[in-house]
Amino acid sequence: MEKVLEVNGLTKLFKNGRGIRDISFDVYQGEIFGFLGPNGAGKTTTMKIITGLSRADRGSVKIFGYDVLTRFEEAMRKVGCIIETVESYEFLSAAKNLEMALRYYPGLDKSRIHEVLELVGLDKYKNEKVGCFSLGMKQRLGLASAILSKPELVILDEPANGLDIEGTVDIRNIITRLAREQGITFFISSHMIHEMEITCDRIGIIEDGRIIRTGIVRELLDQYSSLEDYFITQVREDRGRIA
Amino acid sequence: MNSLTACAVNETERIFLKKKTMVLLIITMLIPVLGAIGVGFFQKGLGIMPVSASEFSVWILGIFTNFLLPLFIGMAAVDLFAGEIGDRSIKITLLRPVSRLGIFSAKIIALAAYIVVNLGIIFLVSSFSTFFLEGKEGLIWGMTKGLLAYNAAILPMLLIAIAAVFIAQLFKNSSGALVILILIYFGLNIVSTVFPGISNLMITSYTDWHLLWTAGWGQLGRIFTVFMFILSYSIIFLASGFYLFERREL
Amino acid sequence: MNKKILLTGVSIAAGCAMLFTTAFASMTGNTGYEIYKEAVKNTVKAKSFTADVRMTFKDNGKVMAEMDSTMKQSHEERAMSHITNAKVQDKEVKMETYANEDNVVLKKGSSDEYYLIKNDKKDFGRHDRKLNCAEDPEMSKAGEVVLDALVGDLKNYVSASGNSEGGSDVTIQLEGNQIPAVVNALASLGAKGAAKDGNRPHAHGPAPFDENFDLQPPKLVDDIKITKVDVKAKINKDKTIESQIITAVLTGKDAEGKSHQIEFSADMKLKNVNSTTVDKVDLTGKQVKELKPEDIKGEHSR
Repeated sequence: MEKVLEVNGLTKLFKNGRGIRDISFDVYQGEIFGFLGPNGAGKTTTMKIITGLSRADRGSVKIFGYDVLTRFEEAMRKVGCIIETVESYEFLSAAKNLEMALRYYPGLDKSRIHEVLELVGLDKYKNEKVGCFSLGMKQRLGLASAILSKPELVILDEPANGLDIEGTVDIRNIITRLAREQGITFFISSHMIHEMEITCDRIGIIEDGRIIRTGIVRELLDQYSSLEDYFITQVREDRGRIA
Repeated sequence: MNSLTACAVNETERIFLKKKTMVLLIITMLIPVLGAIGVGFFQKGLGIMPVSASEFSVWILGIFTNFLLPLFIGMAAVDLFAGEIGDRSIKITLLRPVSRLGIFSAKIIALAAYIVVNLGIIFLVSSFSTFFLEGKEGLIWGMTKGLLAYNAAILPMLLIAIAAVFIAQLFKNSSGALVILILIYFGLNIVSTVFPGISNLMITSYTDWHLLWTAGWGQLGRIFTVFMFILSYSIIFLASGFYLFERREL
Repeated sequence: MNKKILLTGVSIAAGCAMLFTTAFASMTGNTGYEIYKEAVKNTVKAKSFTADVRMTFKDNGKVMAEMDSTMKQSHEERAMSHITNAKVQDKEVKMETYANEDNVVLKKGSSDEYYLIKNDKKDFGRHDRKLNCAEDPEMSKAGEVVLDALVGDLKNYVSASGNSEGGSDVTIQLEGNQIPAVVNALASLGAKGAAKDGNRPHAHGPAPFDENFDLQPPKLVDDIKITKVDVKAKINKDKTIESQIITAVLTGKDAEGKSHQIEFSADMKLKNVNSTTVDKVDLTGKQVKELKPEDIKGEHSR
């Protein structure tokens, strides 16, 4: 299968001693890859480096074969993302926010705005200022904005952040539908094990700045009763090895 | 639309979609009108004509370039850099397929557009206000000179924008950045006044460059000198501003 | 990444190089303003000089008043002499003034009568001391800073070019917006006030000379404005002013709505700097009338 994202030996250490060490993994065309780990494990840091918001001390990132440092525009052309938090211009309407984003993608016309807003269930609020939106609505708008460009790779950092149960299910359904129907590749991070178990095809477990395991969810579930079970076993094993 | 154009359109549109900008533009429109009323009072009430109709638009330009326009430009520059970095909305642009050089250039283009729109409004409103004033002899020549002066005023204002962009990036909070910018502006002006020998080196001392353009051929040498100063400073501040922007991590 | 840093560094270096070159080029070689200021200072400091001054006052191109005078002044001798030929609206008058520390002698050209004003208070001397005070280096330095600040950006309009005699020609041309609006407003108001005063009949004591200077300027009431101020000065190689022409144009309308363009010009030529001997007058055997200083004061301070 074709590699959509190649991450190689990413290391970035902060002054406080935390950070990520030697992170390497690949994401393949059409899969939903989950990045599972507790808060502070380095998920967001890794994703920031992948999308060029931040720079690694060492290591490289290639998206669709383009190095994100030197060929940023080409690398990001078919990528949509939410990193850390969803940001929107609060003084503008939802539709205007998306209209601005749409300008970067010459092949798409304005009907696409209506399409994605409907998909995330925000169509009737499209002319309202984002400043008046609830956290859940902003999260939905963020997802709409990430998939606006009909990307081939969507990177979502904690996509269910701030959503209630209904919202979480909605987002999960949208992700799985887009993956199945349109073959979009997803790279999702979360600390919610159960959510990842249902959504992802493959996961990487990140703990304390390092990837300790990657595996195919279906195969893991054959060996362990749940992903949670697997996660705890792996983390204990890993800690035992370090100690 | 290529990514630079898209980004430039977005940045420019965003400046003008802000309520604050609209309020400032209305103030910009009111000042020439108030100025014309004031000058009219001098003309009708006291019988003196410190500013004639044909000189009015250039005179108003001087009032703007001295403080108001640098202030407006500084506010816009702070919003586009310190403001967006502070509230993290800069991420919206950084995650789109456009390079940091592209984003930086687009923001400078947006500031240039803002300057041009401001100057355009001042020129139109002040030219219109002219019809209510005395001293219309040589009005056509005056307007021609005015057009020249308004075009010339773009460059020093752009330099102020570029310098403000550099300084604004040293701050993560927009109100702090703006206060510092205003203090620096006044500080440089005071230094220029106290030490006229080095006023040439102060980036705030070129704000009345446009007057040289209306002063005839004799000022050509001085126009060139100031142009070289503006150009050199622009290059320095653009490069250092871009360096800060390129290195910025979120 | 490194390429970008390199490019940024190169740009900054190039910008700095350009900045230094421009700064250096614009600072070496005195500006017109500096040259002019130095020449004025040197000229004022001169021990003695002779000045031929021609002043004209025109209204819409018609000469309203003309004055030619030869002025000799010496700080060393503490004396001056002044011979003036004036023509005010077809009336001609000649006047001679001789002054030293002790007295001032006036003579109207047409008569043989001399007027003597004894200077008990040593007015002339006091005036001279004031000049000395201005030469106090610290005071004059502080004064210069204030002057420079007041002149502000106007100094940009002073341009100088070297001439064939090793000196320089300085021109100052201010028009329209280059004359600060505040200055223009104050000057216009002043001109308007002066025009009003001109309306009043003169009532100056014995004033033997007064009537002849009763210039009738047009009474401007509307649209009064300084439109132009021009200074052309020739500075010799000793850095003193050799000649200077000052022209100022004031426009406005009178009560009938007629436009006036009033032009005032002063053409001054300086010679015999530091080698002038002031003309003296011998009063023996002449018809002399003594005037009290108070009588002449109003006239003097004009």
